[in-house]
Amino acid sequence: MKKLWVIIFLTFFLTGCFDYQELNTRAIISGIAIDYENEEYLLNLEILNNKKSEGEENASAKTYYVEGTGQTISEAFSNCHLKIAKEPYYAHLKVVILSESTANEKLKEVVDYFIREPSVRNIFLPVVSKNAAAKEILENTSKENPVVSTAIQNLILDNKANDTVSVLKDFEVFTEELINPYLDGYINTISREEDTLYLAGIAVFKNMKLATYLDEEETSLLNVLKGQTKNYVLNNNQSDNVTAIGLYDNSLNLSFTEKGLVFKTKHQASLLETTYSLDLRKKESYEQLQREFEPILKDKIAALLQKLVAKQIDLLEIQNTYYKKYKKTLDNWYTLKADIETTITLNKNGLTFEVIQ
Amino acid sequence: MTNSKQIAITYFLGRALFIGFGFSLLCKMLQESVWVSALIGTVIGFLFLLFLQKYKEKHHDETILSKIAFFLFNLFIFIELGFILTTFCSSFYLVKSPTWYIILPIPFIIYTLTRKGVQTVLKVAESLFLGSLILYVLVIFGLFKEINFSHFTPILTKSLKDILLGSCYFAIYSITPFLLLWKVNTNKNLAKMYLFSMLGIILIAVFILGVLGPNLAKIYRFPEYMTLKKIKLFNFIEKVENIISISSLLDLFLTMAICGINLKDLLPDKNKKIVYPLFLGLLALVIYYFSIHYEKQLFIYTYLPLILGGGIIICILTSLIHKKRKH
Repeated sequence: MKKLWVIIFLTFFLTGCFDYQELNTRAIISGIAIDYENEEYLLNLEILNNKKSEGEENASAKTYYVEGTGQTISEAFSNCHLKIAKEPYYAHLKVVILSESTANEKLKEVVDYFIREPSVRNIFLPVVSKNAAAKEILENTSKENPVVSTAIQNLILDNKANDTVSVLKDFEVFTEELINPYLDGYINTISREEDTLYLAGIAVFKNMKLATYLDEEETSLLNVLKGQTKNYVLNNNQSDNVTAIGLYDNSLNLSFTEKGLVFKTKHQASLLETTYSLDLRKKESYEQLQREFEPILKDKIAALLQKLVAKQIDLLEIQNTYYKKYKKTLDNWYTLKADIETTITLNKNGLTFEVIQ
Repeated sequence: MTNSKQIAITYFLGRALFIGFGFSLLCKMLQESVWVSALIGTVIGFLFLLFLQKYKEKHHDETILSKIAFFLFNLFIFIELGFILTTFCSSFYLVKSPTWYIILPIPFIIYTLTRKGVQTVLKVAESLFLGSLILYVLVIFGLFKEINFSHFTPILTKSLKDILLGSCYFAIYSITPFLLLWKVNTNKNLAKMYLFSMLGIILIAVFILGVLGPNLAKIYRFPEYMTLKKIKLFNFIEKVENIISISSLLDLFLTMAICGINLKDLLPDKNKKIVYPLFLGLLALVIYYFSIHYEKQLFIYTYLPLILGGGIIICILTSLIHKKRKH
């Protein structure tokens, strides 16, 4: 009899039924857009519709949107929740889109909210909407992309060709960069052309404020220097002949000398196209191409570095590298002279040895 | 106690005080150097346990004073573990359940276990050990590719004083639950098993630092749980942090059970009837005193290593006093 009482007691208290909820009583939020206008947050939630859609033409009904405003981000969320008939569920959150004004003025508040909130898993992708409000981006559904947050996630994570401009960085990694005194944080930007969404470079942050943008070309080069792309195309169309090589394996070594900074970059490259009459059975042909491309790449890196120095943005982790080597801070890094040494090793020629004349 | 039972119980005990308290405080104190302190702390703890084993062999008499000291020590740890359990469950598992509802079955189960005796707790630990170990291995596989090795450098950024203090804190957090086995007949391998248990703790500290980074690890209340959120197995098994951290709940639960047995054994025979009301009362204290008074929580969070260290010293001193009187 005693055992029976134990079983009855445990049945009521050890099942966790108190918090139990059916899937269809939950509003699964997959994307959030945060705009900041007139000293007020405008929040938009993209909610997955778990009712079956009726026919293909109704594809857009896969999601619905809820809007709320508030003086604080918590108030805006609270006002959004008032318009949802179900229990908001944030564990499947994929993307948070910040408008330019939010990124510039309210990033600290947004980061604090998400990092503190237990219902949110901090592995979503933060992005900044460029040349459009965050809400416009989130509601930019199409037949091909009925769930915008999934489309953005795919653009960043799944499209291998995008690895030149995409930054694989979840919210937690981004937060670590923001609060690390030796790093400046950066995340992807999303823009749109008619109904098409595309990655438009990166937004760079300094002291919890939006400092500047890097366009697609600059972002690609940054990814090369950080060894995060295998698809960077370098062109040489200065003469009548056109040549393009692809940098597929890249590394950067930063060292500190008495004179200043030395950036040594090494790149493995493959020949993509050329109109030169080259015989690729000969070693000299490769060396000739390498000699041509190295100054081109060096100039590009110098131009990028010049922009970063002008804005005092440390995206190449100069301060962090210095701190890790010497356990000291290097606040005046942007005043130091920088030397760039570039080495390209062309070691793939594709399927042909000779150029078609 | 058989070797397998001892391995199992020491594996669970060693981790109990790190959840929500140990890791969080050490990450805040030491940042990049947390793993260094974990290593030094393990050595300190190992040596201290060796000393305690020798001491125990020579001094197995008990006085009323030493009994009272050990009783109070267990009382405090029971409350402390109850508090960690409540906070952990209400933060991540049963977010909407009232605290009293979460904690209500705990004294009942612990009372049942204390009635059955220490052998039952050891058998429970033995049977849960393999499952917990499998979850641990899953964590290692799931998190290994998430580690950023640059988070471990530069080494030794903190002063020697901070590192030594952190090491002492680590040793106190890890040894305290082992002291609960003072009255249990353990075999001579206890110190070696402590090393096995600490290997697991050091790896967790390394994963927290490697995955979250020093700056993020220091701001989280439960950095070990936040690290688990990153687990992705074979690119499709994810959101498993709640399943995996059940292992942490088992640590707390089994340590509370050992505490409960000590409390019951230390009570005079005529007072054995108050064991269940005592457990209930202690956990009510957790709900209606510690859980709602944030300043009390902060006090314990900050001074826990000192309180525990003081408790250990008092327990040893009380038995030394007795020895001197005997002479």
